[in-house]
Amino acid sequence: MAWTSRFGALNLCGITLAAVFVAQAALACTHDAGWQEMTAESHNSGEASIRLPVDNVPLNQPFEIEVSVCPADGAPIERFTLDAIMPAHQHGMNYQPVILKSGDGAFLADGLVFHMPGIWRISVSALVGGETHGYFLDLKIR
Amino acid sequence: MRGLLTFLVFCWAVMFGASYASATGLLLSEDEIGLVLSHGPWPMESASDPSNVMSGNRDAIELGRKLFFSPVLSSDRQTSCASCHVPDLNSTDGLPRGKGTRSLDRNTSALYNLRHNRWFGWAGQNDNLWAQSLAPISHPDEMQLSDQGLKRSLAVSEFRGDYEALFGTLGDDDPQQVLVNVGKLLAAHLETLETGRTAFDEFRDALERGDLETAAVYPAAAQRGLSLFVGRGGCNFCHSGPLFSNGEFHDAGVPYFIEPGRVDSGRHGGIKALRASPYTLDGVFSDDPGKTGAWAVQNVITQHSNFGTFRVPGLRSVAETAPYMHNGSLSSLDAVVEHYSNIDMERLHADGEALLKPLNLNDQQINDLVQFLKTLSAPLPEL
Ligand code: HEC
Ligand code: HEC
Repeated sequence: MAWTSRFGALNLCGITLAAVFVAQAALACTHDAGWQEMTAESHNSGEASIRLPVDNVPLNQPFEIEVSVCPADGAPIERFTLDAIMPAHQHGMNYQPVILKSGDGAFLADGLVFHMPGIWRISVSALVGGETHGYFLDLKIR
Repeated sequence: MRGLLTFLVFCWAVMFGASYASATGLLLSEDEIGLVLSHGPWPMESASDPSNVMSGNRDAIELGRKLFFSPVLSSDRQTSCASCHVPDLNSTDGLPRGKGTRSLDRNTSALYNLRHNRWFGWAGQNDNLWAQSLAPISHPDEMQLSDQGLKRSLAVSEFRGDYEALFGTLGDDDPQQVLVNVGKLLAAHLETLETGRTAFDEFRDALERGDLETAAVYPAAAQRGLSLFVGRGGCNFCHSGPLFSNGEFHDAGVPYFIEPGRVDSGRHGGIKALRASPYTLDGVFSDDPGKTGAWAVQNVITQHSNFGTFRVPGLRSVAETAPYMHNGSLSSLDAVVEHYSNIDMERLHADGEALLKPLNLNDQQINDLVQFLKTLSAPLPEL
């Protein structure tokens, strides 16, 4: 996990820079150190970024993440949901994370537990102006 | 930190590994070594259990040990915990299913390394060790003693003085509280039962230090078995970490019929029991105002796929505790490995996770996996 995600982070730096360039007009989404951009499921969804634990995401222990969603038109988020699954194994988490709003477009999710090594996909969805936008990030857990 | 170490071992292995390894009899690839390191170190760090004031208390441990062997906790004055968790049989009974006043539905669990668990029992019907320890006392098929009966029995027993030295006057305690207190004494004792270091641990630590000479002492058959375990076998998806269990619930293709017309719903029933229990980490009998660990019972999700799943057993000293599986249906480690080798896909939940498929192992590979599992045995602590 450690080094794969570090390489991943390097890659993401490039992508993030490009994204900032293109999306100048959109609301500024958090790009501080420690944040990674999520992949938007459609072109008109603006961006979302995620802050993972400073140390590695632990195997089979609860951890907390923060997600910041910045819809393309900067409209407020009416509903936010978060889930994680292992796409290759057809299963999700055994525990429901507790989600708190921590600011405008910012959410804390506590109590995620990845109980198996392998690829986990964190997906969030945000309801904005009656339309649902999805974002995801894949992580390799060892 | 562990990640960094893994990384260093990885770099080191890439640079010098291949040639040196083959010269010294190390059969694992760099990638496999990284996976192997995740099954240690051993022993794990352990802290006392904040939900149990008696955790780590020497007098409580001693009294818990005496109670474990005492028929004072049973209505027939003949049964003790040790009737089923037999010291000479490494804390189990050697039977496929436990035997109380009638045949029980499940295999009697071994009692080692319990303090690290998140869930207890095959179905995770409890979230802490004292709750699991008090359960057999009142169980109608086990010790059959009511809370009232327990209090009376304790009052006239040789243990009264020791009990009162720890908890105050017995007469003042509510009978339910007496049951909880006894559970906490038993748990204080059970917490101390940890298995020792194994041949596998010596191998794993040698790899971490980069000491290939020592690592090469680990038998070739066990290395090949280990390589299957973390590789093609995919065993480490569920049997992960230093305990060789993720502590969660899965379907390993073991039938869940108890007898015609009756099934063991496994985790499904376990969550129901948990939600109905007054003895969880979220309840009033926990001694921890901070409710450490209560997130699990608070947030656990009821899922359709829980039906017929069972807790992944840890594999430390597994060779010493046959027979295997929640219903004791497999009599030897060979039988378990053959079960995974020929797993019957029809038996796995259609809507379940896609983790197991027949491995079609040959005789040597089966033997290698068994040889590996045997290297997880260690001198066992006395009950
Ligand atoms: C009649 C036989 C019998 C007696 C008596 C008995 N047990 Fe057990 N024990 C079992 C069986 C069977 C299981 C597995 C039960 C399950 O998971 O549903 C078990 C499981 C356990 C576990 C769970 C271990 C784990 O890995 O989660 C603990 C702890 C335990 N017993 C402690 C005790 C204590 C303490 C006593 C005495 C108060 C006791 N047992 C008396 C048969 C017995
Ligand atoms: C999908 C998760 C999963 C995978 C993968 C898996 N196991 Fe298991 N294992 C379990 C579960 C769950 C049980 C208990 C099943 C039951 O009792 O119904 C178990 C039981 C066992 C037992 C019996 C332990 C005991 O005390 O009864 C052994 C030994 C074992 N597995 C070894 C292996 C080996 C070797 C592999 C790889 C070939 C493997 N397992 C792969 C989940 C898994």
